[in-house]
Amino acid sequence: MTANTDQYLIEQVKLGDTRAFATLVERYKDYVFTIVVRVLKVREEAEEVAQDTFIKAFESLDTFRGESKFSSWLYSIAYRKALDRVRKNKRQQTTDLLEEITEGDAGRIDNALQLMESTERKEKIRQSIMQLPEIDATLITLYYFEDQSVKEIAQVTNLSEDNIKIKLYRSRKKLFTLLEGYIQPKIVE
Amino acid sequence: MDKLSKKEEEILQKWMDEVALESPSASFTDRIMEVVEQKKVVKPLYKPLIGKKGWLLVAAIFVSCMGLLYFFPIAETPYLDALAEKSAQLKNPFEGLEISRTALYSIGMLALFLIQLPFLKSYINRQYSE
Repeated sequence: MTANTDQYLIEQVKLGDTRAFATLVERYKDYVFTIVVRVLKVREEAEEVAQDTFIKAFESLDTFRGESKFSSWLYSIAYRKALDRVRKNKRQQTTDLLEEITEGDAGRIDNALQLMESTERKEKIRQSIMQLPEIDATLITLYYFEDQSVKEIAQVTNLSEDNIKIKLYRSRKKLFTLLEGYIQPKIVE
Repeated sequence: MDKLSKKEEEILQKWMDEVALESPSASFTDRIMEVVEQKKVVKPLYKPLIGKKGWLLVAAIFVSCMGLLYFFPIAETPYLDALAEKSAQLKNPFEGLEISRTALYSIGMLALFLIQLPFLKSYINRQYSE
């Protein structure tokens, strides 16, 4: 059973078995790519940065001591690389809308989304996430990944846990606001 | 108040579950592995400079020398004595050389600079490897 744990694969890679690294790439490529694409917002560029992330991980695998999860370590490389790229591009995200969304609004948005076709609904939600500023997008993505706790998010982003809680609250509110903006025409009808 | 209501939580969770993870293109892994294979450095196996045979040879020479000295002791060492006498006759070519204070300082500074180099080099290497 131990044959497939991250730790085992990492040991194999260190011993020179590069195929073990391919298994790790397969296991985490979607997660890494999702983080990067939500920060960068451009798929082609995100793919490049995600690749760099794995190559960097391969090169510095010796420095990974196993103090945190491999996934957290990997995501933190992805996050930093993506932010670096954003800074390099100087593409400023300007989303500073934060109207208070009440519980009633949330229910209304939910209803409107329910009425849509599944693919359309997914697209709306995806677009809304893409509209979020880099850090908010990362936090939300990590938060809704299956097993990322606030503590793990802190390891990835280098922010304090309290700070993350506050930011998470705000970014989720922001997501609601953005979604409302997207489905507004539907509600008016 | 910095918590979403339970209903809001549920709604968001539902939506986020619905948008699955994004996937990169199909050749993603292959392209990474191509680079990785190139970067893969075969670490040289550790090999001692003097192997087992080498050490045996050294030991054998040492023991045989000691044996020779033990069985054929030499009271005097005429060659060494002669050498010492010869070297006493040699003159130091730098005997009359005088170095000015400024030159001394400059030599000192140059030495300091050269000593610094390896430290600086390793420091900068460390900075870039991060």
